[in-house]
This record gives sequence, structure tokens and C-alpha cells, in this order.
Amino acid sequence: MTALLAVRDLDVRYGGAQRLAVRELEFTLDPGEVLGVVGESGSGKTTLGLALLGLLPEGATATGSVSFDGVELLGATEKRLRPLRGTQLSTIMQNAATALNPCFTIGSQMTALLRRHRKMSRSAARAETVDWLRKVGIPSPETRLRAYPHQLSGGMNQRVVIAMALALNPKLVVADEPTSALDVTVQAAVLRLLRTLIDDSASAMVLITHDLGVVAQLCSKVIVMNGGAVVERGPVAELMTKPKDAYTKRLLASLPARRAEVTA
Amino acid sequence: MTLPDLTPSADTAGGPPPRRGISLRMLAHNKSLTAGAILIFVVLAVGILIPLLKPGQATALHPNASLASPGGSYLIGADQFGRDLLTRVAQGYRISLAVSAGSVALALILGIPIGLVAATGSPLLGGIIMRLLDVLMAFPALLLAIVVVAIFGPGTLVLLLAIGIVYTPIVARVMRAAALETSRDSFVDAARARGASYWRLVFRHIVPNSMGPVIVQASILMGVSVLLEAALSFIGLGVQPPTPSLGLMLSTGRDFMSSSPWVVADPGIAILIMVVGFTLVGDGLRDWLDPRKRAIAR
Amino acid sequence: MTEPLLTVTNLRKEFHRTGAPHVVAVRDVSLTVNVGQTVAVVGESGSGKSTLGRMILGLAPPTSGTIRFDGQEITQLTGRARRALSRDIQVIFQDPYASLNPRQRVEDTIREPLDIHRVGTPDERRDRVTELMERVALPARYRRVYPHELSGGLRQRVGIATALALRPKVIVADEPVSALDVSVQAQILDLLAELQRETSVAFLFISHDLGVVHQISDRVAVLCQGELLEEGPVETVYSAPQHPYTKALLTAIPPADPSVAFEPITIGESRPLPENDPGCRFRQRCWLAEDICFTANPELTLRPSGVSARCHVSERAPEHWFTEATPARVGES
Repeated sequence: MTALLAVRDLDVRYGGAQRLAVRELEFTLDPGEVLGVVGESGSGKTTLGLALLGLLPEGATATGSVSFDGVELLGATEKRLRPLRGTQLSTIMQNAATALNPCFTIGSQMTALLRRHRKMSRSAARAETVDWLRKVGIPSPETRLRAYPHQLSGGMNQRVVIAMALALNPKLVVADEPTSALDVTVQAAVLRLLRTLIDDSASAMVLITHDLGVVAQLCSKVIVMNGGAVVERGPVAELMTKPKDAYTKRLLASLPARRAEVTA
Repeated sequence: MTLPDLTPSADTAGGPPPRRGISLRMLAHNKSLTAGAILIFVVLAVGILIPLLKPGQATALHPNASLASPGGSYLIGADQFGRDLLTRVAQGYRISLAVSAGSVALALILGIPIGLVAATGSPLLGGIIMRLLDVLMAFPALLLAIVVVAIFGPGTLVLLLAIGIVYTPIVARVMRAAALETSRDSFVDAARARGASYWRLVFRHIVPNSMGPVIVQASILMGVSVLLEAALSFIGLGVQPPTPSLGLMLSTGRDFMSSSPWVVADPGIAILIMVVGFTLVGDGLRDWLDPRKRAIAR
Repeated sequence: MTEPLLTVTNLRKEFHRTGAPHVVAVRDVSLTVNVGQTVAVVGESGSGKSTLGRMILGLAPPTSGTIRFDGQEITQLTGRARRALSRDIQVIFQDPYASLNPRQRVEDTIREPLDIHRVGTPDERRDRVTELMERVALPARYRRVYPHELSGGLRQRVGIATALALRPKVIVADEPVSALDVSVQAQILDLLAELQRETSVAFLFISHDLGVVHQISDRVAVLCQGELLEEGPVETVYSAPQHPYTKALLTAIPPADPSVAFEPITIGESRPLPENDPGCRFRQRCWLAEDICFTANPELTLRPSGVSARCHVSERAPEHWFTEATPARVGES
């Protein structure tokens, strides 16, 4: 079986910048796998996410290959990418408040998505939306359908974004800091939710984050990026307990020394 | 807690401080600023040089060259009295520039302090000031200017005064909005917490970081005031003949528009160049005046 | 025992809006900070932790309550007298991108407190800037540079140098490392700890990050919807919290080790209660709530371990409140 996502020799450079934002990146991802991409600001992790989604800004040049399910994403036209986006390739952005359109209710946004891609009837799409909202832990989903994003909390909006990202059963989800903007108790709840959803679905995920705790909880394998390049990669358990690279070691050592362990 | 190395080497974006300031490279990146600057430069060059090369030509009458078409010794044609339109346009630029610059300067001198007081004074005072400005702004600019001219009688200086008064509320509002925006930044709070006095807060922290929108507004107002000056002169309330003014030229030339279009086209295009120039400069300034935006752009 | 450096008593802040119920941002909070001590105020967004800091800094007038600093009541001080106090009470703000004046060079920013309070001659001020920059490991080549040319970590060093310029007795640090990368975060925290050892400056450390708080503080105060729910020595609070909210916060951090089980207690999201509600303000989110929690707001009481908490359930059995109280419901969302 070939990999779902194969990134080969990926270089990305912005405009006139001297340094490559992403350098000689290589990895593969099988269906259902969850890959963590860890790095600090300037590590190139967000650029990588944009490259995977075909959303690199104008002026950025990418060379190498990003092959998704047999389709080359680098240099692909919008026309070629559009049918992939949403259905097979979706994304969870950090900031739910800007990921949702403030002018429409969450219900209408989600039913529109289902109707567009699944050719469902209005009532079927509505029923499925309610199902999904319930699944992501939104209380009384029938009434929340009519809520506008600003009427919901950040955590609730992020749950809606997650539901929309997963509703079409995509083959790959690219999640860029999906919980970083949330309060810690809300983050914990959303992390638990993501973990169950990932376990239940067949979607593969690339999870981009600076938070090693999030990676440890959600990912099976991980790559550590620094200055645009991968400095270390491996299974999560191994990399976190026996890091080899100096940068990874330092990153782990920088974590607030010992998180309190409360026996629940 | 075992990170003995305290040097900031790990900070990702360290490196040597980059150069800054106005450079050709910056101009190359900012197309509207460059284009606007070129247009304004052309306006200035025409306004300054042409009358020097052809002294007296702006008002000299040559009846045998009446309505001479463009070309030859009349590069862009002549008007009904045979006056060289190029020198008249150049003279008109001088008047227009003087009136626009003077009126915008007046608007800045009055508007900036008013806006600052409205933004940083007590809410009650701010409210009163803004309502008064609203009243002033409720009048159409042209009408307000006509009122001022009606009171003081027509003339170049009155024109300048009238346009300046019309623009004062606009500058004040922009200043107030920008100052309010800046006061919300946490460096202003930080300075307050460090014991900075009111004057220091306003002039060290708020004003320097709020001038961007005001400067942009001023350069756009420069362009608009050229139009307003032309309009007032057109209806006879601005610059008085025989002093050449772009608006006046349009007004007197319209009788010959069908037979000799250049008589109106010349001042019209001249106004267009100037207005577009100032507007482009305004747009371009907006882009680079904000150092935070520049940091991102790099 | 001598009086603490900073004593906050029953401090309250209400925001009144026309046409809407008023909001109580800080609800009769009392706290003390001793010389050379770091007291952390933790809470989620909307907990009132920043408002508390702003009141201490004199940036927001309290609705009621008192602030005493160095033996002097400072609550009502305004104008010149309050400004003079800023020699001793300094601030480090969160966002190193917004907290530095973009049009001031690094050296002008660091020197500004000296200028404001007219400390020393111009030469002495210049030397002090050099000294401060060295102290926070800010290379001299950044002296004449503008903030937007610096990375987040370097900017925060500028912020720290500025706060230190007048040798203050206490620094209110509002989320000073939240906007920084973890490795930079660790360096800045180390720097703050080192400065504290050298100068005995006290910190009021406002943060949402319990990991960071654990690393740097002596005492911790937990705020939720403006109310102080728990306060005590950081080790005791972390190992044996006396309030369900603290417990939920502590379990909410995903451990950076996949072999450690991550079983967060998920509590609902914060929803404000009506002001006249008599009960515990946390009860809607609490999985241990009992009848009494709906009728009476618990007092903040001192527990045997030295921690103060505001909870009926744990007050009854401070040693094993958590296991006694219906553990079956733990983890439900």
C-alpha cells in the first residue's frame, strides 16, 4: 500500500528571503496515522501546513513533491485542488473565531458544507449537522444550530470547526495549533474530544503545534522542526523519553520542570 | 530549570539589526507611493520651472494666437485670448499648491490639538467637542466654504481659510480615532504604570504612534482641496481673474469646449494629475508609515 | 512579624455599563506579597487576574477595598503622589509586541523610567542603561534598534530591563512569558528568578499557565470569575489542592509523556451567575456540588495544610475530600 501523503524533498522560500522557510522536508503518512509536527516560531511548521493544503501565499516558491493520495499538490491549479479540499483534505485552524463566518449561523454553515459536497437534502443535512454537534459535545444542538459564532464561546466555536473539518470524512486533516487559543480547562476537553474522534475515524492527521503535551496525547509519530528543517523524527514515546537531537533535548528540558501530577 | 546559557542565542529572529529608513528599495516595493511621488514631482517641476522659462506669458494676451491648437510654440494650446495654456496651468499649479498646502496646514494646526483633547481629555469634554465637530461636518464642504467666502468676500487668502476650516473637523476626527486606538496599546499602560505624566504620555507615546493616519488623511485632503479650490474658483468665489487658477480656467474655457477642447482639457488633466498624485502618495504612506506593518512585510 | 510589602484587602472592581447588568471583575480579593517573594495569580480568561494587577498598578481605580504598600495605604493616591510610587511598583506586560513603544529605540525605552523620575545625570542614566542591558543579556548592538526589529524573547528582555531600571520593590508581571516559545520562556523565567535572588524584588506573577507558575512562584492564588477560590504555598496547592477548580486546572495540562495517563477532569465552561445568587460561584461547573452549594457561598477558610480555600465539600474533609466525594462522576463533561 502506498502512503496517503508523501512529502519528498520539500523546499519552500518566501519572496526575496535568503533563508528557506522549509528545507529538504521528507515524510510519509499512512491512512489513519497521526503525525505531530513540533517546532517553535520560525521553525517552518506553519509553512509546512500551508504547503500541504495548497495555501502557500503568493510569492512563496515550493520545490520538491507533496503527493496526496496519488495527486501532486505542489503546483496544482485551484481547479484541481478545489474538489479535494473539504472532502478529502480539510483543516482545523487555531482561531475558531476567524475560521467561521460571523454573518451566518453555525447550523447554516455546516449544512451548506454537507449539501455542497454530499448532495444531501436540506433536512438530511440538518439532521446530520445536529448529530455532529452532539458528537463534538455541544449541548442542546437543535437550538445551537441557530446561534451565530459570536454567541458561542471560543471552546464551542472550536468544536464546531472540528465538526466541520471531520463531517465529510476526509482522508487527511491538517490541524494547526487546534487548542492553543483555548483556556486550559477548555483545551483539556477539546483534546479529549479530538482523541476520541481520531480513534473513531479513519482520517489521518497532521497536527502542528508547539505544545509537546498535545503531541504526546494525540500523535503516534512526531517530527521536530527547527529553522525549517527536521532535526529529529520517530515514534512519540521514544522521542519524548529518549531524545537524540540536542534541540529536541533542549525543547523537552524547557518544559516547566515537572507538571503537577494529581492522582485522579 | 537547568538552562545555564542565558544568552539570547536561541531567540529565533535575532541577528544583526536590519537597516531602516527611506531607501530606493523601499520605494520599489511601494508602487503607489512611487507613482504618486512621480506625479507630484511633475506637478512641482511644471509649477516651478515653466513660469521661470516664460515669464509673464501666463497673462500676456496674443489675440492672433487665440485658441491656437496644441503644438508648435503653444505646446498644449492657447486660450481664447491667445494666452499660453502651459504657463497658465503652471501658474495655476502654484496657486493650487499654495492654497491646498496652506489650508491643509491650517486644518492640521487646528485639528490635531482638538482631536488630541477629545481623545485624552475627560469623556464629557470629548463628547462635547465631537458633537460640535459633527455639526460642522453635517454641512456639505462646498456649502461651508461658500459661507466662509460669503462672510469674508472672495480672495485667495479667504479661500485658504475657508478650505482649512472645512477640513479641521476631518483632521480632528482622524486624530481622535488614532489617538484612542493607540491609547489602548499596552505600552501606553506600561508608561502610565511607570509614572509618566500626562504630557509625556501624549507626546512621547500617543502622538508619535498616531500620526500615520493623520498624515495619510492630510495627503488625501491635499488632493481633495485642489478640487475644492477649483470648484470655488469655477463658481467665481475663489481666485479672482486675471490670476490663473485651474478652476477658473475650466470656468472661462467651457464656452469653447466644443470647438477647442484643449482649453478645458488642459486644466482638467492638470487637476487630475495633481489629485491622483496626492491620493497615491496618501495610499503609499499608509502602507509604510506603520512600522509594525513594515516589520511584517519584511 | 513585620507587615508584608504589599497587602490587598477585599479589593473589588465593578464595571458599569449602561443598559446591561454591571460586571464584577474582581470580587473582594485579599492577598499579601512579602519582600523577595513571588506570588502567582492564576486563572482563565475573564477571571479578573489582569484587572487585579491593573488596580495594584494604579491603572484602574478599585470600586472598594484597600491596597497597602510598604506600610502606606495607596488605594486613594492619585496624580503626582501615585506616580512617585511607580519607582517601587513596576510592571512587565504580556505581549512583547504591544508593550513596547514602536517608535522608541531600545535605549530610550529602558531609560524612560529614569527620565520620568529624574534619576541621576544624563551620563549616569546612560551607564545605567548599559548595565541593565548587560544584566538581562541584551547585546549592546541592540541599543539603537527599534522593537519591531527584535524577536519576542529579546523584546521581553527590554521590558524586563525597563522594569528593573528604578530598582523597584515589586514587579507586577502580567503573563510575561505567555507569548514566547517554550525554550525562550525557560530562559526568561530563569532570568526573573536570578534577578529576584540578586535584588530581592517581589513579583506578582499573573498567568494562566500552571506549569510556568509552578516553576517560579512561592505562593499561588487561584481566581475564577473574579473570586479567589484557593490560596497557599505553591507546592502544597499543587500536591493537595483544596478546591475542585484548582484540581480540574491541574489535571487539564496534557503531560508531555505519552506513557503518563491524561485523564483531565472536564468541567463546563465558565458562565456568569446573576449577582444576587447566594450560592457558590463555581457550582455550575462543579462535579461535586451539593445542595448547600446552591444556597450559600462558602467562606475562604484556612485548612490544616496551610492552604486557604472556598469550598463546602473540601472544608468538611480537607484530607480526603476528593476521594470521599462521588468520584464516579469525575471526568464527565
